[in-house]
Amino acid sequence: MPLQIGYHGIIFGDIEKPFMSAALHYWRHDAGAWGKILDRVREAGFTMVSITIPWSVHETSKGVFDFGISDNSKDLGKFLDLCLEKEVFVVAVLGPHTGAELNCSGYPERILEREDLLARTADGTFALAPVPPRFYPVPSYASSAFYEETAVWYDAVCKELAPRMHPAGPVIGVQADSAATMLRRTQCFDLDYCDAAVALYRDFLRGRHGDIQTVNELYGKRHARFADILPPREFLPGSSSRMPYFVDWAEFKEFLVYYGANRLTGMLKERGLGGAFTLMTYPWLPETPFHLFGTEGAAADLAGVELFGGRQDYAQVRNTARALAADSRLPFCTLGAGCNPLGAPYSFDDRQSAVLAALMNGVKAANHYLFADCDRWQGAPLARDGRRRNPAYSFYVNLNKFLKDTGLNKARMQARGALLRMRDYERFESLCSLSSPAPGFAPAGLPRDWFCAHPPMDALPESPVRRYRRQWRTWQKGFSQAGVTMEYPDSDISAEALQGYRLVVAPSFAFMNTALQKKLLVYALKGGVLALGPRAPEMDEYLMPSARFASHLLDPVDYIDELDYNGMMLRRAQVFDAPHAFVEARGKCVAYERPMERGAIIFLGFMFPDYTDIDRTPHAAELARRLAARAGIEPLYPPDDPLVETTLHTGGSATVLFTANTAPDRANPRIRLKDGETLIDAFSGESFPGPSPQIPLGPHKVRAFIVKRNAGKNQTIAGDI
Amino acid sequence: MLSNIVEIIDIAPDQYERVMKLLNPPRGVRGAGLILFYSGSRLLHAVHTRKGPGVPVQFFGPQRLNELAAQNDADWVVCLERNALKRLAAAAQSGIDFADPFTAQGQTLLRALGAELGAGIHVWPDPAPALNQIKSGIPAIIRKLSYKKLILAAFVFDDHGGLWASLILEFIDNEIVFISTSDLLEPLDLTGKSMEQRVALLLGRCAERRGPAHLGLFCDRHAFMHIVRHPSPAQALAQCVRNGWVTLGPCPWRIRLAIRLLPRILRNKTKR
Repeated sequence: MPLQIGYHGIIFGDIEKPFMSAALHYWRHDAGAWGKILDRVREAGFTMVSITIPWSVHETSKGVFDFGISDNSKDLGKFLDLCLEKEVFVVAVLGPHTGAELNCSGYPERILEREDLLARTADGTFALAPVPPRFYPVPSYASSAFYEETAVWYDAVCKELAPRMHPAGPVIGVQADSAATMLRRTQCFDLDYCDAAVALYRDFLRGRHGDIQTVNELYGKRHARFADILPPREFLPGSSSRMPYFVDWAEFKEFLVYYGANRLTGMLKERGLGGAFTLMTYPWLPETPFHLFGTEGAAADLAGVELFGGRQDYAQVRNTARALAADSRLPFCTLGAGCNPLGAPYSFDDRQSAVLAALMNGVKAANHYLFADCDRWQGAPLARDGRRRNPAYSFYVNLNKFLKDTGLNKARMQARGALLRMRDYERFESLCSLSSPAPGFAPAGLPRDWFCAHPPMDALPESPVRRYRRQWRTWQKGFSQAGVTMEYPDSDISAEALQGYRLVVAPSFAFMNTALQKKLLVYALKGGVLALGPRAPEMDEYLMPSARFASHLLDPVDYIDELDYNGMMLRRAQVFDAPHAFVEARGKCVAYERPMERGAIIFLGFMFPDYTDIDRTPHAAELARRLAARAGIEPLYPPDDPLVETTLHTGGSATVLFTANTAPDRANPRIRLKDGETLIDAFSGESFPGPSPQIPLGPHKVRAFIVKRNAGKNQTIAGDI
Repeated sequence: MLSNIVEIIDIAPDQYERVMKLLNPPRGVRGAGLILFYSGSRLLHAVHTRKGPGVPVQFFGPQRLNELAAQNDADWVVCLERNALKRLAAAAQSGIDFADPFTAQGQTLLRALGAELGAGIHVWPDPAPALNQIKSGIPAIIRKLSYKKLILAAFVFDDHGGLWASLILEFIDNEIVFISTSDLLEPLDLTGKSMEQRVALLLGRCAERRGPAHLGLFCDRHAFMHIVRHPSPAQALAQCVRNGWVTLGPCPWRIRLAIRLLPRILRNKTKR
């Protein structure tokens, strides 16, 4: 029976232990320094380490491996035995892609010289991963040859690991790839067009649609067999009848990601590592082609995200953390505890803020990468020889004490509302990128959706491209500035989990997959408050008729291109003749409420102006506040500065309130506390008595507070930190 | 320039942060920009970095970008033919040899970019002079200062004689194979020591830990600031050496000569 993953940590029999690890590269340290480094890791409060075991480091030639025969620092067995002796659990990252600032990210160079296992672009060229100090070709995770080579590595490394698995040994978890997926070459029409990937694409279509007749009907084609179907290489929809062909390709890209994860974790289990939990990590936000539900459902026990960022990346850290908080079995991420000198420079202050921002927004488990300096890594809490480096080291000591004393992993971020990330529109947007094959082409700070467009489509006069993100961003800002904490689940969330929210905001356009339409309808019927709009879905994702909401929503009686609503310009507003108006602008009803059996649908038939930066959006905040109030959600500890966010975590051994300044300027918000409450800074011990203390916050600064009742009593938790 | 086997160890974090803060350009988009995608003479999509996507632009083709910039309140314009990025990627990917060192791979990428500039990628203001400098200028300087093996050790002192920043680099065949800082030389106690004593201690420790430095540079943080903020840092370095703000330790004759002649060469270039 493998170790189980729970929402608060790793389940060892009856005990759920928090998953908080320090990452180490044992092979980059002298074996003589291991003991001291592990002691320091323990002293900092960690009981787990995550170790990278790179294929390219241990393989000396094909099929020949050095696990300490000629180089002590590669003696994996000895290191693991030392971990057992020091009572440190181990999560082993085996690759094939380990990153680890290695040339070729840990793939041995010899396999990348085999053309039959490399990915191909839509142009037929090999795809290069632009990773200094050397660009290297991206392998194909559809290629059998790639898995055959990987099997040779897994055979060797699993022999070392299998006897050291928990409970006899320290290894409790295994991670195959680390943020590998397509090596960030994720544009829809970039990869993978090698023969093996095309064959897999056809298998995927067979699995999805059953037989070629169904595909032909859907695509309007006359293919004799699946082998005749060629993958699309650019988005040329022509008419809407072509949409299924492209939408299937966008979905296949997601399938390809968790297909690879599934094969790798399966191979590890076959080799005696079945007792450990399995883990995969993705780079940044789990949006298409990353699919957290797909991975956790089919490929690994746990899927996490790499969150290397600085203070200025607060918004991205928040969005990712709240997506994980909603979607994952255990919201897990890798956080920087130092930085790669060849990568983006992050200061200690940056890293500290990113850690607190992740915890503030719902992350429950983390791997702090890397905890000791070594080749190609700097700024870690420990020097290469195990010397403590302050203030970084003491930060982690205090952090672990804070986590232990507050039981934060057992607490739950108080979010009663959900702002859905709509996968249908993400997929559609991915088809429309003008910047392919460059990933993340958008200049820093500009939204990627600004660089998406598509030719006019007959069935889609109002495309969700750019409009969906605009609605989403405005709702996000609106709720944030209204002081209402929302989670950001994937629209593939289960109906059961959806029912746990009092309010669900689902930006909707002319199409939406039928299963999601049904799920949202049931949610409202069962008592939830569902906010839809700006358009009622009338088609499924293939642009075929499917209007589950038709009998519940009203037809517009008028249409106004621009409409002033208390100073905010609403765009493309539909006007309704509704008995229960929710928003009236200049005497016209542009949003209405439709009572359902036990809940309600609130339809908002207009589009917002674009808010991308830190703009104050008082009108969107007012709408968000009203929506929340309709669902019975009150802001918790609202600050008087709309650019400051707070989240409340309850259910642990202490109540924790986080505050974040989302702006690049200093802020001094007042936070309204309940009677008799005092905030104690969890790290400095500074006390802020109620009823409305003023909290100084530096630019993009995040602070954590213990909420204390009866302020006169001894502040046991904060005083020691 | 950067070897595939480059080793980067013992980077003192406070020194790293100080230098990065000094050198790191502000994040985000600089100025107001206009990014256009076109096909033939048809504009497909326009993004203004301050006004957003879908801005109305009068487009007659990828020429006269300066006029487009003026009409749209933009400080710069990038105009991309629909398939230009794909062609650029394809050219780079088919041209880059996996076995090549990073510098050669980078040069191939720049060549592919050079081929698209003016063909499918149009930029205003013209980036060609800067690109040429990267393509030919920097490698030329490296070639001129070519050494089979060279260890550079540079140290910047704070106002109290402690270390403010440091860099230890080892070149082999013009490629950097080793990067470190004074953390490699720890434990170090520089308090109360004269400049001569500090230089001797640091060079001695460097020789012990990595090998004897072939080029040693020592200065205080004010001289360092002057050099990095100067429009021509090489010229500023040469001037600082001449007026004693920078102390030279060991120094190969070619570099010593270059430092002596550099201000004169640059002065003449400016006159011309």
